Amino acid sequence: MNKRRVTVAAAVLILSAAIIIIETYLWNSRKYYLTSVVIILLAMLPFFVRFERRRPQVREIVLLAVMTAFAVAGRAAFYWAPQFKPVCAIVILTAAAFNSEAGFMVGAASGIISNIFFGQGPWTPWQMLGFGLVGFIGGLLFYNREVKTAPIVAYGFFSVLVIYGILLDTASLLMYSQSVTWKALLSVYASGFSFNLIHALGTAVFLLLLKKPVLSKLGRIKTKYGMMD
Amino acid sequence: MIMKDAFSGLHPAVSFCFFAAVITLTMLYMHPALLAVSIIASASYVCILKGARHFLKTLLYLVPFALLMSLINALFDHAGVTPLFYLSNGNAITMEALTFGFFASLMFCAVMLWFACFNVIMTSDKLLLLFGRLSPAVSLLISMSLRFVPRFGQKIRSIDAARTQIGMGSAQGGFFRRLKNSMSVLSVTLTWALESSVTASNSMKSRGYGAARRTSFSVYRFDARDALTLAACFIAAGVTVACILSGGIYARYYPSIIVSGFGAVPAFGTAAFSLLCFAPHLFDAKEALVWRRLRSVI
Repeated sequence: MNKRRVTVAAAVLILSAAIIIIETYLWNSRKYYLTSVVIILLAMLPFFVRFERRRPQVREIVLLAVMTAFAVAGRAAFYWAPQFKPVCAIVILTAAAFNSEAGFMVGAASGIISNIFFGQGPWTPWQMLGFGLVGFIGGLLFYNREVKTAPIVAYGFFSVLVIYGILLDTASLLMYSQSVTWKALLSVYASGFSFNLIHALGTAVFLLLLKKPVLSKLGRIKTKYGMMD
Repeated sequence: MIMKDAFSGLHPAVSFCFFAAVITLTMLYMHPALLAVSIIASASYVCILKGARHFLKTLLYLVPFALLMSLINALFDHAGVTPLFYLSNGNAITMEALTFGFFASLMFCAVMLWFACFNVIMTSDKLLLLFGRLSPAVSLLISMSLRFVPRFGQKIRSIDAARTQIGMGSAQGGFFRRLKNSMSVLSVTLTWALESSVTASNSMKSRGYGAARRTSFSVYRFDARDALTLAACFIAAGVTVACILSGGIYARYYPSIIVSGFGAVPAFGTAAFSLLCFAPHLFDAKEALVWRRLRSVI
């Protein structure tokens, strides 16, 4: 980890803490949703700034656009099966083939674009962060290593169940209720569990089916054109 | 019938600022008067944009959801000084929690209705125009994948049609056969997409992508009308915020309900907020009047 990354991370953490403290002690209001969205946008900003300032190659942008569109088209193709979606699987595979930054960008972009087709709402920033994080952590775990089937399927299952599921369930509680208590939070997680389980199982199934073909195709493109090095 | 809406013809920056202000202010302060204004304005604007039938369909799931949410709030939140009755486990259902839950779900409905309008007005080209300059790489990523989504759909259909002729279509065979066939279609599409992405990027590069700042085409022009509307929205939002900050508009739900009543400041703040929320309606009415006058001159 270089110094700059640590500084940026520290700045984001301190700013978020400052926002929470101001919100709770100075204004003493219960604006959980607005506060959390501000913090989410703040947390995602460094990723976008870094991507922009790196001046990515055209090839890289177009390739990420292809993977994003693939994820969104996959979500659209399975419109008839609620929660059974390939988005997370494709994001994880992209991250494993390229790197965690690519995983985050494809995840966050899939969040925006699929909602252009399915309707934006207060959930959009949360979905962006959810997909992005699943991809980012996937990249940290699987990029530049030999990817075995069992670990990546397990990662897909648990990341969707825990990271994405808990993020989006928290979001729905913050969206429609201002009284956030542990009890309410637990009940939301409990009621959302079956949906998250289907989503997680779907991701595992898609990873199982898509892992070999997608990774070999992405690897082939990478070697053939010397990309994303 | 769906009426023609002039407000959506304004510059995207104006529409975006309008939605940002209205949605944030709706979520910012839970005062009954402000919420009432917001929900009436958003509901009627949904009717204008999408038709009354669509609005009624939205109500069909929004109303039960809102009722459920206010009940759940009362079940989980036992703060408040006015117990209505006690549950078997000794927890009180309080009037404060019930009221708070009701207004919270009303706020949720208003936000959902505003987002329904947002989705009609803020089309992808407008969003890209607004944020494209902020981040050229990210906006290129987004605009290209927006184009790829329908293109993949077409390609998938044509590959599937070809494979159906040799008995390997995605709708042929038993369940596992079908799954396998669908996966092959997807796999073929991905190969094609990846190869064509390289061709596309080579072509872009040889046409000078990255050589200079990327310009974008836009049919929108920021004219005096846009500036005026934007300024009016800003002033109305500013006045509302000022009235809230000064304590003139006040609402507290716990431990007991205190809501600022009638008076000069609350009335003024509510009027400013109404002006903001009903800006599209007022704008449409003005355009309709102008149109009628012009027609009667002929």
